[in-house]
Amino acid sequence: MLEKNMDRREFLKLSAKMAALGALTLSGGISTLAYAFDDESVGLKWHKAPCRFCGTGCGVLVGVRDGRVVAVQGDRHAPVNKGLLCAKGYHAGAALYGKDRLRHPMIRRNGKLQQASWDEAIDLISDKIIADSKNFAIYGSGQWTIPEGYTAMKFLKGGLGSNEIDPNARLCMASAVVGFVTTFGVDEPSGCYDDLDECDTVICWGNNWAEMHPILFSRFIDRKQFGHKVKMIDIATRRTRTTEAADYYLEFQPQTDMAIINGICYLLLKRGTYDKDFVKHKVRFKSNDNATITMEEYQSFLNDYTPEKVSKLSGVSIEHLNLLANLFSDPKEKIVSLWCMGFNQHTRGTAVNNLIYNLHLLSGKIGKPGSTAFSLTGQPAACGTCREVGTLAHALPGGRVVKDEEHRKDTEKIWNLKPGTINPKPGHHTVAMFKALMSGKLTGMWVQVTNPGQTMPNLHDNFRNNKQFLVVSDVYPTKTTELADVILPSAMWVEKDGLYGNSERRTHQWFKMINPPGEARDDKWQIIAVARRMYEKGFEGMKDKDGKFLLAIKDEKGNEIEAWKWEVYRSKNIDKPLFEDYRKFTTKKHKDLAPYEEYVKHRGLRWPVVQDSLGQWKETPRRFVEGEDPYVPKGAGIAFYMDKGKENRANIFARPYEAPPEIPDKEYPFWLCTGRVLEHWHSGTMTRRVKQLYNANPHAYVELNPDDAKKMGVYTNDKLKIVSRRGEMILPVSLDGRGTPQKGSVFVPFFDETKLINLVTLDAYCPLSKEPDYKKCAVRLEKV
Amino acid sequence: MKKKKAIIVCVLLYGLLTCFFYVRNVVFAKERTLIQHIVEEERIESRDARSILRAFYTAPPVVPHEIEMQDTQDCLRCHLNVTRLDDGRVAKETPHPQFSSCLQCHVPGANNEFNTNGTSWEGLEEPKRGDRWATMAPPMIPHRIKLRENCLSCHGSQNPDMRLRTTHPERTSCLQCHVPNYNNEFELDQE
Ligand code: SF4
Repeated sequence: MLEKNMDRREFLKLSAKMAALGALTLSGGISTLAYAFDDESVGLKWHKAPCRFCGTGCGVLVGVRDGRVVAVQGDRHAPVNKGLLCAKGYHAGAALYGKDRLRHPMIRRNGKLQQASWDEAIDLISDKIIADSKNFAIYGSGQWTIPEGYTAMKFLKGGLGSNEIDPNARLCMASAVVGFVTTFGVDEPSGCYDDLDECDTVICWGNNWAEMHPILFSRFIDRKQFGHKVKMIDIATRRTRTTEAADYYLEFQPQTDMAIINGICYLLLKRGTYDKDFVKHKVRFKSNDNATITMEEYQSFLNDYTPEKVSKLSGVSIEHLNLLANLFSDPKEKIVSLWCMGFNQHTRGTAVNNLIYNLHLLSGKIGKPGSTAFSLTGQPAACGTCREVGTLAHALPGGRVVKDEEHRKDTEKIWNLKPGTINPKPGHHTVAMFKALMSGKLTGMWVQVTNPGQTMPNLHDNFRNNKQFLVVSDVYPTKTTELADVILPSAMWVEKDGLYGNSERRTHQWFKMINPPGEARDDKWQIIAVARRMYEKGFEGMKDKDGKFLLAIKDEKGNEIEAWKWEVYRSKNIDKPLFEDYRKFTTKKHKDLAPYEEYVKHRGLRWPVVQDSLGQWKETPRRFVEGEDPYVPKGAGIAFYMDKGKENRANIFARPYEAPPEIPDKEYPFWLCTGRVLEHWHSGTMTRRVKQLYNANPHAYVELNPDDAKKMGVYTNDKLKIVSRRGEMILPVSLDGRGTPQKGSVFVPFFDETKLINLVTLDAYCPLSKEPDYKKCAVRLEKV
Repeated sequence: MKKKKAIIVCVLLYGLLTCFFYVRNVVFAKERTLIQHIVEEERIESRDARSILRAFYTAPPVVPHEIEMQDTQDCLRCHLNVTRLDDGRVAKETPHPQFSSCLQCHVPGANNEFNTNGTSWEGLEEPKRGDRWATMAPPMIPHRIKLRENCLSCHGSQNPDMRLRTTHPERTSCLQCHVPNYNNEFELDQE
């Protein structure tokens, strides 16, 4: 009776008082009764999600009240971040509420973008695709959720009969992928973040993780606070916040990272301090062109990399080279190597990825707690979507490739396609794709969740000259929507259901929490709706073997969900059936995923997730390690079981140092390096609409070495024109700011859409991974 | 006769007591509420002044001054303990000294170029004062404790904002009497 007459508020108040009383009388600590008497928190609900931004994949709790996100906090039960977030993560909620969110579809008519209905837009897009389906491309992103990437992939590879799909992840981790596949026979890091809690030394290879992966950085560096004896070695071309916290700073000349690693391997072999047992049983040696060689041949290849030669080439002292060699020689030392864009955005990106594994394989510092070579990823689902689903021009889901007949057959079977539907010819990779679009070879493109108008290298040649039909799905106006013929407003982050996969193979799930603004709709709904329209128009590709709709989605009872109708779509969780469909692909390369429900329960699980004898779904912290990875044979210890040579070995490649394609000369005497800053996410479309993040870093600048500045007579905030063979940009000077580049080089962040540094950058790329190098090109500086 | 007297005395006593309690509860209470009200307003003011630095209640505050160096050690030089600067400003002590990468959460905020009309963001408000069970009961902690583990960094006698200071800094086991009311520090609501 009493409780009946009390409203919730009073009841809560009372229970709090009881709690207080209890606490007083029992002098107890924190009571466990729920209590909330402040008006603000009434009606507030907290839901779980991964952070929207970087590949670290922090767990966040999103506070929702009255259909709006009002707060975000770190989830202390999330194993990745244990309750902490970086500035971007905390402000992720505010990124949803920029006033200029795209709310309605727009179509360009007579050169002007005009508001249109969804129906018109879908009709127009489907007509354009039908007109030249084989030459229509999709350019996606590592910020696609897993079901989104999967839908786009099935639409294009299963429906249009071409392979013209590539993600922005090509510009970000393609070299890492090819590095993994060539060395281990399978993609993605074998170690995990736990290694950062157990290692003695972290070596950062051209990696400013204090700003780019802040939570991992603090997870490691905070160990010092607790008295752990750990050290950090920063090997870089620019002093950064990471350098401030490092014990050693080794400055090297751009591109000579290759020589440095070979130099350390040379020392290990020469001294005989490599891990002999590991080398004997777990590795094999390969030449640069993939032929098996003997260890002696490898050793003679290394003879070019004596400390003297390497030191002269790279600028790293012999003493420091010895320091590194000593660390790798010490069998007790637990070492984690970290890298991200420094290695990946490299015209020899694949090679340098191989090289770092060489070093860890020779010294046996891999697959042991606290020792691993860990390739960090930039985007929240670069792993989950681009690499695992495989939204790349050459790939099929679950680590398959279009060139392989068996893989195509597998895929056709799961998708219920007519045999021979999937095209064996890989599509264009990103740079080639945009070049093909500029030249008119591709006649249309659909861009989702990314902003190539700001982030493609050499923007003049690779984006701005576009004359072809361009559809852009995005949440805000960008440099890409400026050239669009159709703009589709998208739902973002917690405005839709989703799954992301982070750098340590952890797959996260979240549910939709709020409605998208205006008429904005999910990216994958947009694809399903266009596919359905094409199906209704009789387009053959959108039919499966039995003439049914290709992208049909069935609920648990086997009834088809009419997902192409927005009213139906928005009332259902489409992710679950799509994810279950995709799961069928994941066992081939032992990247097994658990059922959707498991991810609902957990704060992410690291694949392979396999059922144990009791029926529990168990994740794998470290891959290839017995006792952790269920696919390692008993007694093997460490087994690289995806070895293409079927010997459970990893490959050590004799990759020589090769000079970069453009080197500073008389006319263009400076190196230009581009990159990110802590507060902004890539092209800044979201983070520049958050007050706190914007004010923290409002505009791009050019960082100079103080000596160079002195020579030129420029000071902070003076204007400099940066000129390359491709374009120019005027920027204010920043001295002794966040970073200090080495002499003869300058650094510019790319987040600022008012100062497009990518008009200046070079589009030369790694011959194997096709990933361009944003870190090195030659420029001239002019005072303005 | 004696019985009658006793009854009269009782009634009188009862009357007196009632009057006493009436005066105490109503008159004094009114005054007390008035005083409390003033204090409350001041506190809200101080809360607003603090919340300007945050996008919402659970967000880290921005750094309200220029940062020249970008090194954590530089932050801690002033913020490890309360530091009084020559120009009269007082640097507060960090409430979570266990974390050492300051600038990854606290971004510089001295710049003020952002056009606030460009966003419709409305963040969760800071909580009001802690409630008390009764006048003499210790107030409950109205905010969460995560990242505010060191109570005295705000409530210690060094805080230049008098309104936040505790009246009894000598008692160091705060949580023994003051219990948090946002229990579980905002946990997941999803089943
Ligand atoms: S470290 Fe990355 S994932 Fe974590 S909060 Fe920051 S941006 Fe988000």
